[in-house]
Amino acid sequence: MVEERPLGTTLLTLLEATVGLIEINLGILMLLVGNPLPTVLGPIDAFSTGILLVFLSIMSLFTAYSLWAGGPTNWIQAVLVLVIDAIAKIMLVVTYGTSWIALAATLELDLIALYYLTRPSTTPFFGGDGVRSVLEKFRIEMQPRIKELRFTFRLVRKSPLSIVGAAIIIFYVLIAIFAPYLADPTAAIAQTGDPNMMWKDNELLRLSSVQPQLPSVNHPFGTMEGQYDIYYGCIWGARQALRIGLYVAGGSMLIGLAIGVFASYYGGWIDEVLMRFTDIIFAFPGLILSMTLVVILVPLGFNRLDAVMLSLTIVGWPGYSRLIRGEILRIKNEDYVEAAKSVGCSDLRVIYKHILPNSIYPILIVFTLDIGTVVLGAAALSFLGIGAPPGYADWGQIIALSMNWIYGSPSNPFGNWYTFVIPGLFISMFVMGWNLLGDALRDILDPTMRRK
Amino acid sequence: MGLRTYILRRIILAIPVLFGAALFVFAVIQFLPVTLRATLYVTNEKQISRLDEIAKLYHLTDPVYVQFYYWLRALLLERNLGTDSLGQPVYEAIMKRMPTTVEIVMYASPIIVAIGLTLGVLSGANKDKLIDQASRVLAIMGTSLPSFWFGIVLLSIFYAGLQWFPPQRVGIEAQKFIGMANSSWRWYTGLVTIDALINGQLWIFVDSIRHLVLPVTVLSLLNSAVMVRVTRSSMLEALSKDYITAAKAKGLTRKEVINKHARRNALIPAMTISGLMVAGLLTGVTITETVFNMGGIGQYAARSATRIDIPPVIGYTIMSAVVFVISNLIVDILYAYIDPRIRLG
Amino acid sequence: MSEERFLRIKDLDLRFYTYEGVVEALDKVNLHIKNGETIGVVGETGCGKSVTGLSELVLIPSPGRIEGGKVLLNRDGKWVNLLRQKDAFLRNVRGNEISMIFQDPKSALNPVYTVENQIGEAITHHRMEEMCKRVIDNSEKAKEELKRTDLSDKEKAKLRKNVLSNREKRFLERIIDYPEDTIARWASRIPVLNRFKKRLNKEVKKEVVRMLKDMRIPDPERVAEMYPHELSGGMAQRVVIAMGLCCNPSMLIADEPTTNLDVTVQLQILTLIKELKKEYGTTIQYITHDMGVVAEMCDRVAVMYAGNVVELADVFEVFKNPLHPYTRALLECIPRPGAEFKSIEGFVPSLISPPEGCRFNDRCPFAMDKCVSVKPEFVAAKAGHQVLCHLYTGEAK
Repeated sequence: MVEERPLGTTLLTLLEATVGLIEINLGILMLLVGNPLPTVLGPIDAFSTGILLVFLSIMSLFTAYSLWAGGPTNWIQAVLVLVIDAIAKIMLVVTYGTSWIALAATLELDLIALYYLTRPSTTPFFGGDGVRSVLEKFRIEMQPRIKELRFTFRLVRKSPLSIVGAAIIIFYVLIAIFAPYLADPTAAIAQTGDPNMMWKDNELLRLSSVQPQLPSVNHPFGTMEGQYDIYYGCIWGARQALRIGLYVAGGSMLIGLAIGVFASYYGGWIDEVLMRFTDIIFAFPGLILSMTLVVILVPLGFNRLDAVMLSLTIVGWPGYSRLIRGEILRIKNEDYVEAAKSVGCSDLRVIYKHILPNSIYPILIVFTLDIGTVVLGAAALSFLGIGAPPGYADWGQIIALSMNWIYGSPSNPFGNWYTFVIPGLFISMFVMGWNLLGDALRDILDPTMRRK
Repeated sequence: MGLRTYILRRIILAIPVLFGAALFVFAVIQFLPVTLRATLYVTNEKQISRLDEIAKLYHLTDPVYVQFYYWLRALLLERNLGTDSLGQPVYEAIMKRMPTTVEIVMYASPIIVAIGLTLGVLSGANKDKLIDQASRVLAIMGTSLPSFWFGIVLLSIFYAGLQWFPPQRVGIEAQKFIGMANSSWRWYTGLVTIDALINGQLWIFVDSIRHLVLPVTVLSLLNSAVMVRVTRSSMLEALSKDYITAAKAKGLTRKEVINKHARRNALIPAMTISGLMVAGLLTGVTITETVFNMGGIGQYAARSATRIDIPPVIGYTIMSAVVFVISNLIVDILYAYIDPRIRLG
Repeated sequence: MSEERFLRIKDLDLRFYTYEGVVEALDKVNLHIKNGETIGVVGETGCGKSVTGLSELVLIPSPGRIEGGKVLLNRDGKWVNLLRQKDAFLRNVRGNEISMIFQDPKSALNPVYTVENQIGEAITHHRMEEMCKRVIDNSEKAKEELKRTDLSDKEKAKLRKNVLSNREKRFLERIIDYPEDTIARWASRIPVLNRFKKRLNKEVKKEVVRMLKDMRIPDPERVAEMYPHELSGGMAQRVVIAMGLCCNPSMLIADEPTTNLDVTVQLQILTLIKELKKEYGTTIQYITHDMGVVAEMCDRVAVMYAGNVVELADVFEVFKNPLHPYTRALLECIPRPGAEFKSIEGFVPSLISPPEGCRFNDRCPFAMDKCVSVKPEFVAAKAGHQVLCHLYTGEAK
């Protein structure tokens, strides 16, 4: 069936998809090699920029796909797509200030605006109704999926725990994004060149040496040993937490899923070998193995933080492999897969169409809970001295520095409470947010409990 | 397959895992260049200039499989885990500190199991009522609070503030008493609490219990959260089964239905995560000992890791793996014994 | 079978409150069961036949709630509404006066307890007094026997096993007098004191084995010690039936007991139930979707559709002269060799927003305008033959 498609729509979707692909390639390049384009802030941020680019390119590709397949049907939806895409790009610009990304963002906005203006129904120039009927058919096909999704969202809204969890997470994400505005990095950059290293109040250093100071106007949460500003540490620590959480959990998820799917797809000795390998990693308690890996990686030249991230990822991926493998094996044995195979579906199609959609939910839940676990683990490692260096804006590290001062003075035993209570609350709330969301999702997405 | 075959099979399967774990650790060490690895075997300063000889002595330049053979042999037969940066042989350092760690774990484990199972069953049986909400809150707190932070907060309140529960293993007087040259103290098990009772020194017993309260509390509260969660969900699953309705149709009271029928079925899957609990304990002990300055193996390993002192960390890791695998094995066997479906084949 | 009524369900409304909406599972269900008869409740999946059975025992699972109507049990001439009774009363009825057996025998049995344990549980719960008396009687008889002088040592030893010590006897008497006695319960947990329990358990086990024998189970002693997963499907279902009948209930509700079994085993179980009916005289409510089974087993039949009882009459009557259009269509659908394969057009309506009038109206070949908006009354079109259909309300008695 040859479909009539207006030239304009085709061109626009192709352009959108191309931009998306450019972004994804740049992102992967940044992850692997470093920053190929000049940016304001050094190599660590190339890493983060890279990851963000990958996420955003997924959004672009999705926008392209939805434009191709269905697109907005009314101006509200069009504005929504536009706004979401724009917000994403603006966030990036605000956070990292790289100019070429701003360029890409505006380019996208233009494309989307252009698409909407040239829609078949609004402009006779690109007109033609052939596309319409195809779009309608696709919409009908997607209806039950969308209905399920809507049902899920309704449940999410009804469960107060998940809302609280989501709210907490959004709170931290906002803090992380707007960190430079909430806690000015100029002093930190002036002192060490890296805004992630907390700045020292040299004035106070002269006056009171390394003794932590109570909260004051200059230091809303007080200072810690060495006169580092705790407020600054907590705010920029949110960035660090998100970074570690998303990269490690995301990284181990991607690696784990890939290996798991690979192993179950090919089966046989490949499966056996890979599963033995995951068994071996499972023989060690997580944090202890990561301690070992860090201790090996550091002499090899990695800086401590990177070593921590790498080791946590290595320790984390087997969990996902086992998970997806279990799901695949379970679903493989279900009757509907046999039915699909009996009408001639190839293996890959079976995996794609039947297995993956049904196993997405457990993976999502584990991912959400994993972020919390990873951040806790990284904080523990930082506390023990294995992770972030002293003075780095990392919650665990701040608490480590407070160890010497927890007893206060004999007359005032709680005198230095702010040095550990506040950062600890930050960590706890962060992890709690993810746990609440994950727990609520688990209750919601469990198919046997849903219909009750 | 019968019970005996099952047990045998499990044991046989555990051995390659242990072997694989050792192989894995060995492989990880191999990433280090030869000179670095040689320094691991240095026992005093003067040897640093003669690293080549050390490398030859320990076969560090031979092909990989030869090295593995010698490494494994040293590990199993000679119990040579290397020397730490202070010159102490790692094996002895670990053994010296072992009783401390065992003591903490010994008191924490039953508490974890008791809280986890009881609260989990109660929670599942009374879904959405007050006890359920409360235990869910506890469970979430348990998995969200960093254990080191919890320990610090408790220390601040109960030691700095109230002076009730001090850190470290025993107080100064007790230390003096035990360490004195002509002291009447005799070590029997190595565990201060038990030995204090055997020695008849009740005050030392009380003192060491006082010192143990905080670390054991931190360990048990946070680790029981997972068990509560798992037991709760397996309880809920058991309650949704048909035999529960059948039992009700026989005219049993609600209490009987829960305690007799649902509970045993719920406890069986909950046991499977006891293995996980052991992992949590091993990890938790590392952190807790550091926070409370208990002087156990965990603290030793953590301090070594901070100094990038490799041998103790390796030793600790291998030991943890062995403990973990064996405890999983024991749990598997127990599980098979309790579940008649597996026991009778 | 007498004309006296054993159980009456009057205008029973049952609703399930789910996320997707309120499911009107039972809508003014009317049913009466006569003493000693076998009544079949027939209908498609989802028509509410199972929950009707559960309602009679007031065992509706969680999001469900009974919103109206009565479940009346005839107790020595007086009608008692089970829906308004306290839990203690209901627990006495369950398993004792009215018993229920379920569809999947393997999942109706608790996998971690033996057969003996589970059947024994029902016996212990309802026939404790009887069991205690038996043990005491055996003890007295054994004591009498021991007075004889012509016994061998072996026989004497055997008899002594049955003799109770005074303490044990007192415990048992205590249980007879105060069934809920705490002291006895405590004593049963303490190792030395609980020997009376051992004697009791032996007696209960004897009873269990007797039940299993009645169920035509070969080698009942061995089966009693087995776990559910060791039993075959048919065996397990016999165990479940034994569990249901062990306290000699007046009525047994059988919820599709043969659906999950092989056809050959099905026949065995049906035969067994028929024989047991002759032996025990139990009233049976047989829930099924299989018209063939109904024809084979039942005296009367209630046809259910979408939460209503649409027809209630004698089995022969229904087969010979089906009045409700649904029943007629159902009977026509039974495959016959040589005849065309028929089915009923349309779908069962969703019970979340069920149709206002008769729930069958969109598939009924005789539907009138009235049927769409007005619910029909459950009336007797003939003597002993009730229908829920507008076609017959004119012929109301």
